Amino acid sequence: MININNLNFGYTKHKPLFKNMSMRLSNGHIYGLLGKNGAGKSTLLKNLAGLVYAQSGTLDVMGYDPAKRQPALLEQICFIPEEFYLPPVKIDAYIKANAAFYKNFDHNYFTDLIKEFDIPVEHKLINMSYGQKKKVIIAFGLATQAKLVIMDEPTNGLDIPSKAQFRKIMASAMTDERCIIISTHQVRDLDNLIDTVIMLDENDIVLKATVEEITAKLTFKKVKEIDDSIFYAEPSLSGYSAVMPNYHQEESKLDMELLFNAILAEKIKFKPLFS
Amino acid sequence: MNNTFNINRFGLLLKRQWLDFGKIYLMSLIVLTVIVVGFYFFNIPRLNQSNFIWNDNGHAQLAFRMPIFLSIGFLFLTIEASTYFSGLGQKSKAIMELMTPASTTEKFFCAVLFSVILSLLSYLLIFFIVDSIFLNYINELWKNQKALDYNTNKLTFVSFSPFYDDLTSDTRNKFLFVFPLFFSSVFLLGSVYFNRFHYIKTALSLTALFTLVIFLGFKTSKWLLEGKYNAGTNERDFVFIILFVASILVTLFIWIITYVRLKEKEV
Amino acid sequence: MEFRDNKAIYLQIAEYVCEHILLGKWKAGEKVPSVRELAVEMEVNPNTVMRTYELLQNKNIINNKRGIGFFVDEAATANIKSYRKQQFMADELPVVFRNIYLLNIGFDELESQYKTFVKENFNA
Repeated sequence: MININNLNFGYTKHKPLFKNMSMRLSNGHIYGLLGKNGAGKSTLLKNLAGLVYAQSGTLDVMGYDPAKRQPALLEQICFIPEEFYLPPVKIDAYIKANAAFYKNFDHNYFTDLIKEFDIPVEHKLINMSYGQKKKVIIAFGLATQAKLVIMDEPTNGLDIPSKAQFRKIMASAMTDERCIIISTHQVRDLDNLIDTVIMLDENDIVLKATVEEITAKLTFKKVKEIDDSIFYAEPSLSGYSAVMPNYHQEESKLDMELLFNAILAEKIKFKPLFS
Repeated sequence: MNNTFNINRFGLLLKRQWLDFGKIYLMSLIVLTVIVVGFYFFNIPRLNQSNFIWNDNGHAQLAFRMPIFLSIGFLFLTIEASTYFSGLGQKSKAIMELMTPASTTEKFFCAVLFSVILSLLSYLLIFFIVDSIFLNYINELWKNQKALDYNTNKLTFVSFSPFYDDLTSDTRNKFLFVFPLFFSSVFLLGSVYFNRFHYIKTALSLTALFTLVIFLGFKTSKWLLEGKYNAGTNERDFVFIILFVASILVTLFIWIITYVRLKEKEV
Repeated sequence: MEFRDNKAIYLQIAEYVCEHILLGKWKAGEKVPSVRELAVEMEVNPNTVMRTYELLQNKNIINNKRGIGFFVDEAATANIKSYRKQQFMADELPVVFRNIYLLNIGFDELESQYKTFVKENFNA
């Protein structure tokens, strides 16, 4: 679905953000894109959507070069940015003006999603709260039936019930034809939805592995004391939350936040495990 | 699927842009009408006034119209053109615009159609309507009033000429029709090029460019023609034609640059 | 569903399915929710539920009728019990033993406690 080859990118010549980055993404997955502030999560997503242009290297999205912004590709991309704009009209007027661009737009599904998200249809989009607007563009984006779904911090601004609705909707939106990429800081909102973790740091991808691969190699658990076998640990209520190599084939639950901190702190220890 | 131009998609795009652009556009037409009406209102010729300009058909001309027509037209067209792509300067709007599944070519033609052609036509139309209503009114008011037509030296019943007759009476005026295209193309480019304060930045750049061009033109013509030549009427027409053709070429060139800038716009 | 921190999600979902079968909510021979339905209910990735269903199939707790869906196996209850017993022995019993040892609890005491517990909770 997506093939990134030796991508070099930077907003200025002297400060590269990505150096020779290569990666393949395939359909049937929900990828979780993690990284510190400024690591380039949003920028990578924008590269995929063709909103910014690489300095060198190739990007192939479903056989197209996103930089060309061809309608055939654009109608297959659902891009939910962190900041977005909706015109001062009601939902049905918005749908009338925009849905027809997408051949496969599913009006019934859109109505279902709007109902599920509890959005007041009679209000103008401009008078809605940030969270409500966000739910409208998520509903619209999913109803386009686009094969590539890109979401930048989708749970930002959603209230607690909406986050649960969002997880349900994403669980049902994930099909074998779709590739879903979600960048997030709020790992805990989404950690059960993500099946593959992509982590950006220092101009490149430091980790790309499925949850299954990660938990096969590492184990996450509470321990009382720290010993040498532990890669990384954080103090918790009853001892420490620790990451260590999975010596005994334990089936632990991946703690994404802990993994994230662990990799940032102890990059060298993890490198041989995932290469 | 045609990825460059598809008439259906273009139609959808026009509809979509109208949703965003249309309301403000209609409001600006109302403001425009009010301003034009206002200028007419304050320039109703007083009865017994007699210093008219007379045209060849024995109609009196209202001299205040030409400068108003030109200056308001300039402002209206440049403001419309300069707002069209201004959304691209805002990240959130620009993403929605660029991700809309239509080709850059379609988006560009849509911009030209709205900001140049539609604006120009609606301006001409509004000016025409206001002028006709106004003429109806004052011709009624001046019924049976006489004044001296200096062309014929006769006392004539005063009847005012429609503005578009004034406009087309001098054949050289037709060359003016390239200017709206030129100026709106410049301001359209400005709205893609600059991220904020599109209008003022474009106006400043344009002024700077004009100053440079005029200065250079003056210098070169002085150097080329010094003491050799005195332009006659024919040559003046020739100069107009050159200016006309040059403006059209420059306009096309600016449109090409605008297209390229749009294609390369990053968010 | 609220997931605990100490066990892989797909195993916790397997427990959830087993619980439903043991409590008789899903009966032998009946269809269980599809992968997508259960993923939506649990708010998890469908691939995770797929993994759960693969595990349960291997343990003969559910079976896959091609093209129709997953069904509760006729011998599901017995298979769940043996699967859970094996899990209990491996995961939970060591913790209990450790506490029994640390707190010095006698087997006699345990036995009487156990009998009261069964009486109170299951009226046996």
